[in-house]
Amino acid sequence: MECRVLSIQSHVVRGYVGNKSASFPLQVLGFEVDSINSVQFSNHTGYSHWKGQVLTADELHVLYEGIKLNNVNHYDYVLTGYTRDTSFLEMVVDIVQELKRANPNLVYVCDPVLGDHGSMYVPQNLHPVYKNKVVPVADIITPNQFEAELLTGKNISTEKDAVEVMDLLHKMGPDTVVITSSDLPPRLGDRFLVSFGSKRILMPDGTRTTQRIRIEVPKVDAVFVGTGDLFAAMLLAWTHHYPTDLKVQHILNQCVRNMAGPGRRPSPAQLELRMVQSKADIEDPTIVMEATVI
Amino acid sequence: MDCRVLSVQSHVVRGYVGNKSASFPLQVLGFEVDTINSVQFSNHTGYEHWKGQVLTADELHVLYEGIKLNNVNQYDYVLTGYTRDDSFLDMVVDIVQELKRANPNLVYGMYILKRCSQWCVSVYRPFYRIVTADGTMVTQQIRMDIPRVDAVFVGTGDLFAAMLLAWTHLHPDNLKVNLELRMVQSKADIEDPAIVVNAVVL
Repeated sequence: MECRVLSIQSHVVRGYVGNKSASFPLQVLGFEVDSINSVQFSNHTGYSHWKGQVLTADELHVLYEGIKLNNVNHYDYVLTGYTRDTSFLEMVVDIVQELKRANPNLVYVCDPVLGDHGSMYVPQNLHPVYKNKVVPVADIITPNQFEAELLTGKNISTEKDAVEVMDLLHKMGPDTVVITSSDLPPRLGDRFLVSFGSKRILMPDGTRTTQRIRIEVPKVDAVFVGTGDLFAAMLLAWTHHYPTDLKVQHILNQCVRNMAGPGRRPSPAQLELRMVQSKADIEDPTIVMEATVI
Repeated sequence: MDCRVLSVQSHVVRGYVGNKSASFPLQVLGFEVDTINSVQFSNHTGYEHWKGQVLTADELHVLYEGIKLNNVNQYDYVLTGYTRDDSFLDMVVDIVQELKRANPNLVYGMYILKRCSQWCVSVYRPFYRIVTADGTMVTQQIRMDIPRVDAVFVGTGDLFAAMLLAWTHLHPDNLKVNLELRMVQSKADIEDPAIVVNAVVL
């Protein structure tokens, strides 16, 4: 399989977020991963301390120019995640548009990271850039409920609302939308959370149909970082192998394991994803939850 | 195996040199690899064009400080490779010395680029000091005849250094075994390499 991904995400020296979270699993699954590191930090910002350097929009452009001058700016996928800078995000959009001209079949997987649980954790001025420039060129997006609501201006209180919001997001551009988590009451009880997926498909006769699913995901009693980045990368991988079946694509990894031991509060260091230890699960994940077609 | 490596090498967006060459194989073998990217270039300098940014000695120090402030500056191995900057190298040495004080068992591996003739892969004459059970020190030396490949590859030295680290960890007393397991190109081969070159004990 000669499938090349350009991933533009953070790099941390220690731990698993951004490119550190996405690269290894994709490489294990046989993808060629070119990675542009948008920042280099010692570790993620959930630790007591973090230090490092950020890449500017100009520096990003310089790196892309190097790739382009060598005539190797051909990608099958682009993957992006957490960004804090509007000019950087705009440069990413320019690059994606150029790469799509070079390969019209390119799939842009975008995690529109804006916030969660009712509040934004990136600067406010990123919202219009995602809404007006980024999402329109994306093919697959993975917002959480808050981000889906923010991008569409519509609240989600019921499953019907979720379907309408996903349809609104389809109208903005992407043919695949996954609402990765929501506050809706799970049917399986409060140890679960509800996520949704929607995929717009072009039928052989030229008509469009939409495949929608609901998944109840078991909760884990800890806060992990980098799981969203891992999810987006794995969605890319399994979408590639199963392009027409959304149900199969929503397989989640068993990577996360709490290392602190019973009764003790784990530190951010202890809560890092057990990435290298999960190689077998990455290659051959077990189906641990079922999707319901809605 | 909870073995942590700090690798301070180049990062290229595309291709496999430096950290790109070393990380994946080590991770496939189960090592935790913390990587400090000494540069970020579009690709290695053997292409017609290359563009990017370099990390200064100060910026390296800042990254290390972040690790240290979180009390996670404990490593079993440090791996470095191709560096062009003396002050950067000095900072690396300072960091290694501090890490050795934190963990006296830390092993520091440094790969020095050897200039080869045009079609050469490389010929090493490595040696190994082993302390035996009764406290005496023996030196094991080997020689290997390595088949040449009719092309110029880049990044193989970085891969070699990383794999030497890995297999030395798994077979600490046998240099012959370590060096035979180096000729690998892909995940299946990394996990389960075939012996294609034999070493002769001198």
